[in-house]
Amino acid sequence: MGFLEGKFKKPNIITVCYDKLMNAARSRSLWYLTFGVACCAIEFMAAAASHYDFERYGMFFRASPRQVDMIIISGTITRKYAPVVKRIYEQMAEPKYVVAMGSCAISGGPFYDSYSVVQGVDKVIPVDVYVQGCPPRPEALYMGLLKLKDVINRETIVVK
Amino acid sequence: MEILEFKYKKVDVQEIIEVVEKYTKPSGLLCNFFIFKDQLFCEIKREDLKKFVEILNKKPELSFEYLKCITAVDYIDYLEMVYLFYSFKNQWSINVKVKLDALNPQVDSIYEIYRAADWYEREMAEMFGINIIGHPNLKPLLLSGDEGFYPLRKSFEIKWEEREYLPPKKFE
Repeated sequence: MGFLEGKFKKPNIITVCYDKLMNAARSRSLWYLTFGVACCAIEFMAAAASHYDFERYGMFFRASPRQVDMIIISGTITRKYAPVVKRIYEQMAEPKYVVAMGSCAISGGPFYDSYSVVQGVDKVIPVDVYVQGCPPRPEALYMGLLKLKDVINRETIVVK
Repeated sequence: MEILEFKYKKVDVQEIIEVVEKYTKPSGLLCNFFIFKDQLFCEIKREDLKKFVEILNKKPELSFEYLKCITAVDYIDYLEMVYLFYSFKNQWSINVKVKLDALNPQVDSIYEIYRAADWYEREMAEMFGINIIGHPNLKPLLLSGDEGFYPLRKSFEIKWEEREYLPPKKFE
């Protein structure tokens, strides 16, 4: 067990930096919502399934937005659907993170000039990480999630 | 085990016209038949639509019991509703066209005869701005209903510009 071995035979104290402890815990257990919007969701499912396997990073799916830390917006958000996304985001408990996956979620993508599409999900909810591609490969999504880990590791309780 | 072969019946278009006219002539409905690419089309007046469709559906000799599709076309001077019917019994197809006024388009609902017309008519109402008279539940199907334009009309233009996000007025 390394340097902690034999030091807790009777009650003892560890001193640790609060930010580092909390950020390490948060960035290693990012639970995500089972939420697929459009064709990017196929790539998202491929990244989550056994071949690439999200769970080796501590990411585990939850079916309720009240139990998750992260939501991956994987597809086109239409004007009729945007209030639903906003309500899901508001139901999530703090701290919460948003990943915009694919061209449609970033800017509207090929449907930029369409009458019914919202030009990017960041017009509705705040976004932490953008993953580009149409659709992005699972490797690209992993790159984005590792960037999200960096975002979490920069957090501190002093200034939010 | 015996394998049954499905054979396509040779459809005689003139036969369909004869049988339809047998029922429409006594009731005084004016139908203008024409054939385009081996398909039978029938132009009728807007007021006669409900009567005509009822004849197509209810008469056992015709029995057009299946509604394939409803769509609409914008010809700028006028609008047109197109109804596609199919008869499984006779393997007949018929396409019914109704001309509508461009400024005030309205047409009777055929929901009571064909339940499948429900969503088609709702879609045409929001995409072309056609007023469907007698539809029980005419709320928007695909759009949010407060856009203020009809996207499939020729007068609608797509613009390559950044738009503000305005939340829909009604959220169900």
